[in-house]
Amino acid sequence: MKLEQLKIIQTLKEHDPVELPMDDMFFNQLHSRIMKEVDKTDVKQLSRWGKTWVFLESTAKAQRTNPRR
Amino acid sequence: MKREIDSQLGANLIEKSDLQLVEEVRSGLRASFSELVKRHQKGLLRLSMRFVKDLDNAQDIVQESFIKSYEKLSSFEGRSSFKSWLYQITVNTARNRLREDRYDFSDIENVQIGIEAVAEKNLVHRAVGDILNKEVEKLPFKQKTALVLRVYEDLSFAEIATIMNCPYDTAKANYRHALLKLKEALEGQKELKTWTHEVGGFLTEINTKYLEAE
Repeated sequence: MKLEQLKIIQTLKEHDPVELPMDDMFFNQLHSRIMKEVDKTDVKQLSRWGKTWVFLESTAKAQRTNPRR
Repeated sequence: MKREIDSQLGANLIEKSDLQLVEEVRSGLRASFSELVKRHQKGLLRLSMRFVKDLDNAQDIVQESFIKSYEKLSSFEGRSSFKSWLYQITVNTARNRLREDRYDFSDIENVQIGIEAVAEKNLVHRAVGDILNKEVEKLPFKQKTALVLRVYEDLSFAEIATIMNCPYDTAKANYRHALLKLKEALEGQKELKTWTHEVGGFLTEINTKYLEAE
């Protein structure tokens, strides 16, 4: 990597514009807020079509029922 | 008997991996998701802040991302780490939010860069930092994402590719393009160039080092 790029990366890190709240209270509240919504939510069951191998499965089944000779 | 109790206590004390917690959530233990939220909420908030710059909006994105991840937990196949998967959901959620809100970037253009008469090296450095941050905001979403994940999150290109759902080389190319644009933007700052030349600041320093290296 060129020195210029390294310098740019270093400067970006030194001048990181993001400042997060540091207190635990803030994150406890955020956690409670998230979990409150999660409690109203259910894990969706994966549909058959959600599987990437679904087409292979159907091909395999067809081959089992009608094997080539 | 005592040894058995001790080993049980030990097992509880050992921190469970993300994957173990995911399995527990899948088997119906919702409380395990609470632990996953505790572990990753700070990282997701930091990542969201890079895109929206506003704490309230960033919190909304984090909440939405966790809910999406909870709903889709069945589709998590464990091919990447849970953290990468969460980051992927967060980046997509942030992008959708920016599209919905048509996030206003116009103020970036209007910000005055305070480079008047003060010729001090640390001020030059600060000005360069400001310029770079503003240029980062102007980057296309994919380039910015690659840059943010690499520079601030210290992720590997393989992880970045997973999060961005793109090939490894594409993730790397996006990062390189972002860096090139930042470099060009700095070189285009005429005032800063003259100014840094006088005080032996940032650009002079990198140009000298670059020439030496060439």
